Amino acid sequence: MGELLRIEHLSVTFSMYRDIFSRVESKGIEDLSISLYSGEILAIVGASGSGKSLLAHAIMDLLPYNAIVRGDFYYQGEYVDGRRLERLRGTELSLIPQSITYLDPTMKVGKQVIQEQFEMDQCKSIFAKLDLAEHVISLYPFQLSGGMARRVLVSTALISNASVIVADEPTPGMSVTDAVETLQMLRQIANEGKGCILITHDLDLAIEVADRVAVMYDGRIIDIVPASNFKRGVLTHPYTNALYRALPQNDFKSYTADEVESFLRKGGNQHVGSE
Amino acid sequence: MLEVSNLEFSYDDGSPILKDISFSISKGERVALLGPSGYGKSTLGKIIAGHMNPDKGTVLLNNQKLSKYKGYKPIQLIYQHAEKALNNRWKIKDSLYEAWDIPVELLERMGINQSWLDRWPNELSGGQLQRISVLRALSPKTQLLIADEITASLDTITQAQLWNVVGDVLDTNNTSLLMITHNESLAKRICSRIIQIESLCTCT
Repeated sequence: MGELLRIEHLSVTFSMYRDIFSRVESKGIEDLSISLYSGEILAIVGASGSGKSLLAHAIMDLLPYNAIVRGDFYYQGEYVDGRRLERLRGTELSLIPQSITYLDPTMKVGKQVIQEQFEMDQCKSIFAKLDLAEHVISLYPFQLSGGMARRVLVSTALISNASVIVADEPTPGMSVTDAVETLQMLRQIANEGKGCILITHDLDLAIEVADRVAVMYDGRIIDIVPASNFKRGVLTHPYTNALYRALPQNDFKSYTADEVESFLRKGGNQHVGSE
Repeated sequence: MLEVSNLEFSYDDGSPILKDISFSISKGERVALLGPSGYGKSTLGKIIAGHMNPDKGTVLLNNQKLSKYKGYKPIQLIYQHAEKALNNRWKIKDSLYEAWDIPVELLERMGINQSWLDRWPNELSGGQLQRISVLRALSPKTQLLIADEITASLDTITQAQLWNVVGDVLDTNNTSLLMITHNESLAKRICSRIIQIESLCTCT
């Protein structure tokens, strides 16, 4: 498996005004390193506010102007500087956004998918692959059902032929069948030798579809495990284990704040040594 | 205790969301409302809580309309997004104690730190705010609690913690629960009865 993307020592801080005269820096992501290999789905799970979406937005360069990003990016083994990274985004790195609100409501779907770089024929073949009828090309976003809109969003990422796809919370609010379908599309993309980063707070889903699961807490990745380890019950990090045991279909066990704290202390930062 | 009969509702564009919906919840019962998005689960929750009026049909609590209850409403609705539920211009303690006199022991069990009480809502995370808005609604005067995806954006540890406390308080006060969710395994954990919204609704 070739390495597609490697991020080393990424940190994201926000500079904010406390009042007119002083500024404070608040940390979003702290010293995060991670690799993505071709053919895999890497899920990133964690509580709300742990920095998952920040990571996605940092990769896609969608952070607001007051964000300060530090760290090294490597694409297919090569160091990428800031300017080249900008060119990669959208062609080699592509985002499946969270919701239909990312589409322009006043523009026909087909036109949005091809933008100014691609041909309508390419769009048609992608639509066929995703089981979308050809006439969808000339519909407006409001005419799409939830499931169709989802597939249109996926097709915007597929048409670019990008080798790294970042999917930001693709399934909340979807029925189980729609969710499974979307994830199958991700699997298909990965099987073609691309890499997918799946950002989700739904651990259950991550275990089902991903190859590896990274657990984020407070802006850091504290653990990375193969997804199969969850079902086999070999989880070395106590916090990851607690996350899994707390699922309603498992023990639904309730831990106190002190216990969670001690899990984090005991487990520490396990993936640093293994990566 | 709660009696919903022949409820009908449509938004401005005219197509009916809810059509001829009837069901009941007895005292202390825990019911889950399950189903895909777009079937009007949340709309139904808002109508039962009295936040919206139905086009047709009635919602009766102990054979009375909710509007007959003055002051504290015995049906309380909790939303998924706590940040939208709390008043940004009120400190946490004002929002919390407005509802009822909450014992300290419950604050601790809910994992609410005393130092949060003097803060503003924008200084807490979504998960922290959700605990506040849940605890607010758990007064002994509440007869029916409607929980609309209250843990959908939380991690599993927080989710289990929260439901553990909620379950105990519901038991103590013999409060009924209507839980709106996508998560079937969670519904099975918490509730004794599951209603599929499709089975209630013949439209869409």
